[in-house]
Amino acid sequence: MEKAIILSPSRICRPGALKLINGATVYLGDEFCAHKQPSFRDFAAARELTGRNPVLVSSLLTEPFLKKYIALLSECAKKAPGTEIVVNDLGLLNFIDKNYRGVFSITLGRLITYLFDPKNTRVLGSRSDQGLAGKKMKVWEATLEATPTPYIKRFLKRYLVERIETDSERIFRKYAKNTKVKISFYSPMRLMAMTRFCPFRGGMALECKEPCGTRLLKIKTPHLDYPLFSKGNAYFVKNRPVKHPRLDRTVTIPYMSSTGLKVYMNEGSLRG
Amino acid sequence: MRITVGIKSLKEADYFLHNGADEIYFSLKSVPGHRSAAFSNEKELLDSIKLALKLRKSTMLGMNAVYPREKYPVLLKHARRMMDHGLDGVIVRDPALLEYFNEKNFRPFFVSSILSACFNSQAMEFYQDLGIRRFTFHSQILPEDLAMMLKGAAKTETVVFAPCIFLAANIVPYCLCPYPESKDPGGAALPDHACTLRYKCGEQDFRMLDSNLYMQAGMFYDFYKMGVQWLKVPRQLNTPKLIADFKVTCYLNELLGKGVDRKAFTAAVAELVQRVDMNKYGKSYHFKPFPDMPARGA
Repeated sequence: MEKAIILSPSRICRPGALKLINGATVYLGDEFCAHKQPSFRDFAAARELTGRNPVLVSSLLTEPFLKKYIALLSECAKKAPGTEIVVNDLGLLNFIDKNYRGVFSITLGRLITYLFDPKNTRVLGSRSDQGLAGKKMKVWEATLEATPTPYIKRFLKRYLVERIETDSERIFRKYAKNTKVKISFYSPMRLMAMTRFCPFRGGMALECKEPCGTRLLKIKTPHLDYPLFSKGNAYFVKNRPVKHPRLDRTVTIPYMSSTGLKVYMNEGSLRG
Repeated sequence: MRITVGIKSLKEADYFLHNGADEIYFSLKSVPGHRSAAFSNEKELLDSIKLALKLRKSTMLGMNAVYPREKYPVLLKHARRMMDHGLDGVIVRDPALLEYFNEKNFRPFFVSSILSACFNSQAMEFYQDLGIRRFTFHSQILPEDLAMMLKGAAKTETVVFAPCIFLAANIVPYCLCPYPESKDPGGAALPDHACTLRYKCGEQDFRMLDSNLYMQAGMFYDFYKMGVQWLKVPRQLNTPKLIADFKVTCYLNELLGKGVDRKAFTAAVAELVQRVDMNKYGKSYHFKPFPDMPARGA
């Protein structure tokens, strides 16, 4: 079983990175924060540190960040063809297909697999009316709102996708049952929501020095019988690793539980 | 900017079309879109299209959910029937459904939904290849980013939500939190959207961030100045709140049309939104009927 760890460019340059990596495949970048996208220099630094090409991870990319990513792809195509890219943005996928088809190894990140299966991925909340109360963190297995499998199979072929990734057991089993694509599973953190209003920066930041680091804030409300976790500009809940013969890679995010951090508050204009 | 409003009844169609809306959009409950606010019978829906045609205004059908494959023929039949009655276009989010419509040679004026996760020019191109001609952009795309996106897409129509009315704290479709009072697990007992709840982080208060009114007002102004064509007022179950959202949107849009500068507009938004206190109308997902109003011309 291959293990992978997601590290931002700044984290990989800090002391202790090699110990943290501990032989795992390095995913360089971030799935949720465009400020943590690497440059080719970061790519080369990660390669020098581990002796292997890192896997590149993209976030959702606004136009300026897409332009930066295109510059990274241009260098990688010349100096590191075949690099695996975890694509979380449809635009990036479209660009790679039209300009570098076959040059990179394409993995669909969890944001794109969620795009196809938007609703049956929600986690169980408190006081469920579905008869699941008490079974915390169990995945909702409803079959509604799933993009038809034949389309997904064509999509994988159309974009030369070699691997898909998810943190949802439901989505994992769907791909395992219906496709031959390689599948990665993310744990112990499952996505709950993402935003550009970063809690660590107090809103949308045009530039960022990553004050979030690997900090993980545990946040609770009496209305949910499970905690949420705030990390970077995404919110998570805990999930369990999946056991399945098709699982060949697990992906983790390093984190350090943190309290006492100054959290920005914006009471908002229209919120009760 | 022109204004498109989401509606759920002929009465709403009549009200909004006679009070400044340039377009109405809707779904039918039996062929649902993303939101539960929808027409309960087809006749009213067809009458609304007829009314819009009479007033020379446009209509859009919302098919912005992800549907199972076996429903596709029903969706196609429904959309074709609406087009035959004068519908102007269809709002779609799922590339699979767009591909199906293309295969069946059904190519009306397609509009992308906010749920399409379209954040850059290449994502726009992905959807344009499937026939999208008008894009609805997420409220977390800044005006300067949008201007860059649209540089090579001069003929593309653009839609934004009025930022001071609808500015989501999290990015759809990647907000997987249960919906309040819904059949989602945990949703039934949730008093509000998860992004609006009050949390504790240790001993400290914590809230999921959105932006302040001044930033929202600035975005509103910049969208207008860069030439965004459409302002969207999202459909909801709470009709008095929908009317209030619409009135605020119209007022601010008129203010922009009068040529106020950015500073004055920002101050006007902040003053107006705080004064009218939109929270008094309650939640958008609570059903509230059409309020009693004096008849037109009375």
